[in-house]
Amino acid sequence: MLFLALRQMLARKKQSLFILLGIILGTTAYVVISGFMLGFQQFLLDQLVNNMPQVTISAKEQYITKKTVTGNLFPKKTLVKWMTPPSGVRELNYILNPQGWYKKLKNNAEVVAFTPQIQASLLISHDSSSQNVNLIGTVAADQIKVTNIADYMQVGSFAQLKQGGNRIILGSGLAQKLGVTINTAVKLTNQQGESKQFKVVGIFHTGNKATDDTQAYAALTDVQNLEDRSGQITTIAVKVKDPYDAKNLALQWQAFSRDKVESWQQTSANILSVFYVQDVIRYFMVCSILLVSAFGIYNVLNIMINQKRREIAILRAIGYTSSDIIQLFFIQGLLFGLIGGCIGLLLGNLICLYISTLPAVGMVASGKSTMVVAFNISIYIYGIALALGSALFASILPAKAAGKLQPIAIIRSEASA
Amino acid sequence: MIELKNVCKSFGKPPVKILHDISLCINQGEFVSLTGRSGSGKTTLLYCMSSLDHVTSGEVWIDGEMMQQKSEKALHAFRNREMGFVFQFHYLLPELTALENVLMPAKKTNSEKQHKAFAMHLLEQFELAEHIHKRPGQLSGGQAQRVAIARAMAMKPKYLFADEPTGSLDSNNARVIMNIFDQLNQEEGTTIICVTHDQEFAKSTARQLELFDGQILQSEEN
Repeated sequence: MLFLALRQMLARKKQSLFILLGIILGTTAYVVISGFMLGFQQFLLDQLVNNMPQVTISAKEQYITKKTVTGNLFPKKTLVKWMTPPSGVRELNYILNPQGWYKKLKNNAEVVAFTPQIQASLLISHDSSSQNVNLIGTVAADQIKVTNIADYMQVGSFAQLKQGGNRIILGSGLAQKLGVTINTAVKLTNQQGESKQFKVVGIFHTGNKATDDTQAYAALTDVQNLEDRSGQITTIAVKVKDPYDAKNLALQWQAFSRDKVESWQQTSANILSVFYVQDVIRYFMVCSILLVSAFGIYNVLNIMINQKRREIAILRAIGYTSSDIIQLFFIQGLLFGLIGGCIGLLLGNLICLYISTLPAVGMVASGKSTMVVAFNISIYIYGIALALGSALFASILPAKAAGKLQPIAIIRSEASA
Repeated sequence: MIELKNVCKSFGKPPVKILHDISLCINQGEFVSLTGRSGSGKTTLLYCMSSLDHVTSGEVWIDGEMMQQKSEKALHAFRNREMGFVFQFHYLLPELTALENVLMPAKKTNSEKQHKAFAMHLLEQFELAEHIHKRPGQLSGGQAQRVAIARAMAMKPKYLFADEPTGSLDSNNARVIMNIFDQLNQEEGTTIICVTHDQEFAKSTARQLELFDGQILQSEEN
C-alpha cells in the first residue's frame, strides 16, 4: 500500500505541503526551543556544579532557647518564668571536629577533593571607598580542585594565595567599586573593628554579578588570624566524582553528623524547580503546535476519505481487505510524520547551529563567547517521536473509519446519488 | 458454477424484502444478462451472487464452496483471484495510470510482474495501447470503462460481474463494450453475469434472466 499511499500524497500536493508544514513547524520549534532551553539549563547547571562545592559541610547554628538555658542555670523541677525569654545564636559558628571529617572524606572513594574554609563578613576599603565583602579563607591548592575558580581569573593567578602573607583575590565587581587593580593594598576590618592590610594579587570574573560584586578569597590562615579564630573552620567544600550523586552522599553523611551537610541540588533547589517549570512550558508549547498539525492531518485525511469512497469501494471489491485500507491511510500519516519530522529536525538543527554562533551576554566569563545551545541526541529522538506520534495519532481515526466502509454501501450510495 | 439456493435479501427496519426465494444455477462459461425494471432487485441479486453483499437467508455456492462459510479474508482472496467487477462508473484510481490501475488486483498479491504482460495484452486488445501511461482524467468515458474491464480481467478471473457497464456510455462506446464482453466470453471462457437495461445488449447474451419484484420472471435462452 506504500506505493498507493505515496501516489495519493503526491496527487494532493497543496494539502500534503500544508500538513508537512505543520509537522515541520512543530518539530523545528521543539528542537530550537529545547536546544535553547536545555543549553541554558546545562550552562547554569555547569555553573552550579563546577563553580560551587557539590557538597557543603557547615556548622549547624546553635540557637539559645528557654529550655536549654533553664536546664543549665536552674535545678530540676524549678519553675522558671522568664520576663524576656533568651534568644539568639549561642556562639560563633565552626565545625567542631574537622579532623574527623578530613579522615572520612580522604577515605571516601566518591570524593575527588575537599577544602576547609572559613567565611567572614568584613568591611573592605581602599582610599575613601568601602564595601562589604564575603571573604572566604581557603587552601588555594585544594580550592582549585573543588571549584573551577582558577578558570575565571581575569588578572593574576589563584595559586598566588598559596604563599600566604595577607594576599587577597577580589571579584571583578568589587575591585571596580573599590577602584583597585593588582598589587594594590586594601584594608580589611572585622566586626570587632580590627584592621589588617591585604595585597590584591588577582581579580576573578565568574559572570555572576552577586558573586563578582561581593566575594573575595584569601589564604585560610590569614582569615583565621584576621578573625582571631585560629584553627577554626566554618565550612568544608567537597567535590565528588558524580555531581548528580551528591544529594545521596549528602544525605548519607548528614545521618551521622551534627553538622549541616547540603548538596548543590539542595542549595539550588529553587533554580532546579525553575528548570522543571521551563520543561513543562517547553513540552506544553510543542504539544500545542503538534496538536494543531495533528488536527490538520485528521481533517485532510477525513476529507480525502470522503472524496475517495469510490476508490475504497473498488479496492475492497478487487480483494483488498479492511486492514489494507487502514494501512493505506495509516501509512500516509506515518509518512507525513516521518518526512515532516526529519525536515523539522534538520531545520531545527540548522537554526540551533546558527543560534550557537550568536554572541552571548553574561556567559563570557565561563569561556563561552557565543550562545550555549544543546545538541543532545535525546532532543532529536523526542522530536521525531513527537512528530511521528502526533501524525499516527491523527491518522488512526480516519484510517479506521475508512477500513469500516463497506464496498456495497458505497456503490449503492454512489448509484443513487 | 454459481448456484443460488432460496436466496432472500431484505433491507431496513422494518425489513423490506428485495429478493424473494431465488434459486438458480449459472454454468461455467455462460454469458447471462439480468434485466428488469428499476427496483426489481437485479443489482441486489448480482451483488449477493458475487458475495459483495450478504444474503438474508439462503445459500450461495460458487465452485462447490458455500460463500457464507468463508471468512472475510478468504472471501477477499477469492474475489481477488476468481472474480472481476465492472460497475456503471469506472471507479479508476485517479492517481494511477491506466496500466497501474489494471495491475491493482495483481498488486494485492505482489504478482504485478507475472500479470504485466497479460495486462498489456488486454489494453492492446481494447485498443488502449497508446493510452497505458495516461491517467483516468486524460481518458474518455469509453476508454476509462475499457480500462476498468481490463482491470476486472487482469487476474484472468473465472467470473465477471458487471453492473450496467454501458449505462454511462454513448451507443458507440456501449457497442464496443458489448463486443469486448462477447470476446472475453468466447475466447477466454469467462462466465459473465451482467445487469443491463439495454435490451439489445441483453438479447446478445446467451441467457437472459428477467426479474420482477425480487423474483425471476422468466429465463430465456437466446
